Amino acid sequence: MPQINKILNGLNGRYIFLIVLSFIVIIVLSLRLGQLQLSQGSDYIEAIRKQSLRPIRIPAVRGRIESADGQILVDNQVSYDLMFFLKEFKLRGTGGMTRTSEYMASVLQQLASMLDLKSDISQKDILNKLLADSRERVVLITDMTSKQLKGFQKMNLPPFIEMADKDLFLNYSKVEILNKMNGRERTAESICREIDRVSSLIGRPMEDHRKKVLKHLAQKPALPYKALEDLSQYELSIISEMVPSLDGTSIEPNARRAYPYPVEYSHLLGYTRLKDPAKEDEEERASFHYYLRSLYGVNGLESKMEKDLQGVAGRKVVQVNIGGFVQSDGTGKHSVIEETDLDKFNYPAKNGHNVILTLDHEAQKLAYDLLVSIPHHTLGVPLQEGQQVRSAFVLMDCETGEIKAMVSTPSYDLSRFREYKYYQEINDPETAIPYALKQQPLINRALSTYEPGSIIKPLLSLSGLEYGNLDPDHELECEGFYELPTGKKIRDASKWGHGPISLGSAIEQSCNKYFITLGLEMGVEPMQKVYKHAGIGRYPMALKDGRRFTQERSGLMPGESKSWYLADTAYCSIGQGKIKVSPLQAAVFVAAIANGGKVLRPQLIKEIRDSKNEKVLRSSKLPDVIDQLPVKLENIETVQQGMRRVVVGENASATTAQAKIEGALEMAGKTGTAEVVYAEQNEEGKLARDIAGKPVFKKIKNTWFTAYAPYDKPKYVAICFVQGGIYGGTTCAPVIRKFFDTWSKTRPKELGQKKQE
Amino acid sequence: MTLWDRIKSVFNFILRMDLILIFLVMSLLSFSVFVIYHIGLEAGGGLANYYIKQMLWIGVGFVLMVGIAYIDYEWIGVHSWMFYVFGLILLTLVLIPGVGMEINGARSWIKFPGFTIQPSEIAKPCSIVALAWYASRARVLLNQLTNIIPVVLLAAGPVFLIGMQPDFGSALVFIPITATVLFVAGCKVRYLAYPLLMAVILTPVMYFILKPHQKQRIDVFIHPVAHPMSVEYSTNKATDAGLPEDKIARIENMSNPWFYTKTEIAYQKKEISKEEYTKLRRKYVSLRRFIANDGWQAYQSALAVGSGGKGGKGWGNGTQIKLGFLPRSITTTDCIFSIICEEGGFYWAMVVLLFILGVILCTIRTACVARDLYGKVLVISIGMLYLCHTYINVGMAIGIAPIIGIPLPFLSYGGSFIISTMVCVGILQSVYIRREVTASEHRLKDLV
Repeated sequence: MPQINKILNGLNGRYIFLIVLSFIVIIVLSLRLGQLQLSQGSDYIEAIRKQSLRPIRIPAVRGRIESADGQILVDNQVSYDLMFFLKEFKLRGTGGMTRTSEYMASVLQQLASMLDLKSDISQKDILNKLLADSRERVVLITDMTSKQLKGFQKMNLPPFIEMADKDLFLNYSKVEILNKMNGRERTAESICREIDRVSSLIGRPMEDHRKKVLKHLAQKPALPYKALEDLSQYELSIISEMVPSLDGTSIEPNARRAYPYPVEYSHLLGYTRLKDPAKEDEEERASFHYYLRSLYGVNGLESKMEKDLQGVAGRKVVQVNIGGFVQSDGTGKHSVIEETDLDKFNYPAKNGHNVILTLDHEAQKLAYDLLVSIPHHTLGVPLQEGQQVRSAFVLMDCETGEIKAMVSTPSYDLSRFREYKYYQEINDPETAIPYALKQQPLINRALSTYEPGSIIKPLLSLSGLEYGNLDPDHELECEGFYELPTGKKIRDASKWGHGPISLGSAIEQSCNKYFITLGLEMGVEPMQKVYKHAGIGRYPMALKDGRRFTQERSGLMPGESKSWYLADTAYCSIGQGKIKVSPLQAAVFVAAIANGGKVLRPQLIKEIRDSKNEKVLRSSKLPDVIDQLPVKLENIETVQQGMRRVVVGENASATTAQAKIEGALEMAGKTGTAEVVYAEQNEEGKLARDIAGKPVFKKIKNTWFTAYAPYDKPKYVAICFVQGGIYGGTTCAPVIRKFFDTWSKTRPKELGQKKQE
Repeated sequence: MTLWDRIKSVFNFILRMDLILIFLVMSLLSFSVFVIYHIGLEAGGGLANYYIKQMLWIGVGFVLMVGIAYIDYEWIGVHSWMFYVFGLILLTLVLIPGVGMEINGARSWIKFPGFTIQPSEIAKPCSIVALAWYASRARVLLNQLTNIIPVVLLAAGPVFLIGMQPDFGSALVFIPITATVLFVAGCKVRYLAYPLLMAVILTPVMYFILKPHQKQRIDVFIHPVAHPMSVEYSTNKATDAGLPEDKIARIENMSNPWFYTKTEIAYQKKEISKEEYTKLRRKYVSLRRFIANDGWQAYQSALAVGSGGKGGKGWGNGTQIKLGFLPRSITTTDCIFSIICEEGGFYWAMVVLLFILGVILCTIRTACVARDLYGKVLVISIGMLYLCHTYINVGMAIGIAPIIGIPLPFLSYGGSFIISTMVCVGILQSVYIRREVTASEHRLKDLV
């Protein structure tokens, strides 16, 4: 081709240099491009995802807790919250002039709407006049009617609207220029205005959301702002029909803990709290940009079964723009993740498992009602206004170890627990009241330990029979007290003494002298041998690996204190002094006596089911025999007979527990009354002193009744414990009697028929 | 002349044009409209109509191109002083506060009702014509150093005025163009090589004369890798002084490692008060803060390019514009190549680069067949103008050139820039049409 020849002819060295230069430039660019796009491409995709994806933690729905008969004790209730999507309200910052003109225009519009006038002054006109620094006085209306005048006088008009005679003016010289505002402040302002509008319509008190909204805008703009929580149906209907409608908001359902029986189970279930992300695992926290908090159990079953109840939190990513506002959920057009990769980023939350308890709902409710309504004449310490009996009740299956009821009063309302005022109320320090009389509703009295009083005597008798060479038929003369070597007299229940007494009647009449003599004769070691196996001084529900129920107390084993004197042995023999037992521990050893020596682990959890309640994931081993009383069966039978006599004997100490209706359960049991000495306090919470300057000491009685029924074929063990009672047989025994008479599983036929009729 | 003859002459005129160049240019321009249309779809707002405006400018540019191709470039050369003065007047006008419009600290635009023009773009072809004309007149005389000075002064006029705006980037482009003009016109190589060497040496000195925001741009270019020697030196000193380990680990993230280390050591030894220390601390530039401020555009461009990968995200499916990480105002100009890389991927980016290379080679081919030295100098300096623009714009996107607001030839949006580019294409065509004809063609002419 001639053309090419000509071009070649025209070429010289300098042109070739330039051609080479062009090629070098393009090659350098291409190489760098290849490096960026081909070899480092994935790094950049990662970086772009990092800057525009925000992983949000989706909390799992917490599992339910149910009773054995299918009553739901803790559920998740849907509550509705009003959410504001910040992006929809996003405004740019403006200068003072624009803001002022906008404000003035809105005031004028309001006026116009009130007067049915057309406002022909637009925001732009105002802005132009403001910019020109106008001092004009514009007439808005002339000759107002008296009705309009009255309306205006009531209104709180800004200074730039002037009224003279019957005319209304807009005075530019009196306009105060507002400060300029940045975008975030303006957005917050517009959101707050909307929130105020909603609150005033639904009649909620106005709150200042400004600071909260500003903080939210700065810290988590991708998340909607929760303006109003827990909307009622009425409020929902008002919001949905608002005019002008609320744009950029949505009403979102939200799960929260619901308690159908808020007081009966409070101590068992325990309360929950929102998890603090700062306490969360570093890695876990780092994998979420926005950490939506979930609940965790603080105490009770909520805490113990945390692992089963909590579930696994899910993750959802949203794609945000440069302002941090949500642009999409990461799918569709303009997404930085491929459709197929989406599963790597998003995973749904796994709901928590349901926990089925061994509790019998009817028994629990009944026990609670009985305790709350204990007749006041059976109480040693009269109740003040607003106070409740301080008591506990435990019902256990003595063959399987299932706890059927476990109540502690005074209780607290779980559904109100997160209200600050209520929390303060129940945590009232009550300084003027001595510790022994304090209400302390947060304490679970069924698990706390107290001096057992006489209910320990059956166990002591067992150790005496087994290790102390005690002859059950040997009679001892009782004068009504036991005199310690120091001269101190320990009084008996019967003032004039029981006379000659054998083991059976000693248990029946709860003779102190008999058991103190026995205790002192054989010493502490034989007691410990039996007590240790009976579960005293040990956490009753603890598993082998040491996991236990919160609030569980181990109590005090006699002889394990630092100093031990003879008097201590004497007092321990009648269940006072350095021995402490919780009602649940009492239930365990009474059950062991009733079932012939098997020491069971009391159990609250029957089984764990999946969130749909379909599949049983795990169930407890029933019965879980953890120990055996080191006692011969015949000795146990002796004690059982003694305990039977407590209820039906000639001089029975608990005649109130006798079956009075035909067909009612026959019980065996043991009363107990422990005296607790406390120092009286004055109003300042300090020691009260009498005229001589000595502290004033007073006594209250902690009364017990432990029982098992039916007598011939033991099935249930019931423990009733009341602080500040009169006597175990007077205060506690009737409660258990009434319980067995009313509970449908033990109710006498006669009563059952009556009810059916 | 009959109508038939007229049609024939128009046909001959078209046939004599550089059709390859026209094909390349028109493909690039239509691609530009295509890309700007998609950017408009994503960004919305004012950008949504840019593709229509771009088509309008391309239409105007095309008419201008044909018109200039019709004019003999010799005539343009003779009257080049007029164009040169016209360019200088525009550049002076833009400096007058009432006339020039200030955007982002540079007074670079003159506003007309309906549109704005950018005198620095229009001044480019005007100056090139004048430079080429005088350099080619001087010819052999260029062997003497004293004769180069007038040409350099000629270039210094617009450079000075553009520098006053200040638009450091556009002014910078004149330097390689002047060098090309001299180089092609036959100036001794050493006259060009020595200043180049000097510039390399003097750059650090220049650095201190620049304004803060211009310094920043250079910083952005230099920063991403703090000098390894400085890092090593600082680390040694810091270890000797016994700075805590976390502070030593931070050294390599600093734009000025030694400044950082010096301050920390001084504070450690309690040579400076706490107030002074906090004041100095604010001057540290950590990599993270650097990306959030001065390095934002460079970093986001690199992200756009890198995340595009081999095949791109698909046209109209990019994320950097939609999410607003790339500043919208520059997406159609400075960052257009990043968008092509992001949405079209490596292949489309390479196609664009090869087409531009094709245009540049066309200019050199035109130079080879041009009938006189003036034509040769003219077309090659235009080619080098394109090359220079391409290198800086693409380099900005991929992090191998400073961020100095230079548009990409044929692709970036901008009325003045498209007009200026098309005028240059017109000049190329004008030179090509009037090329040295072959003997056979002469004979053909004689026969007709």
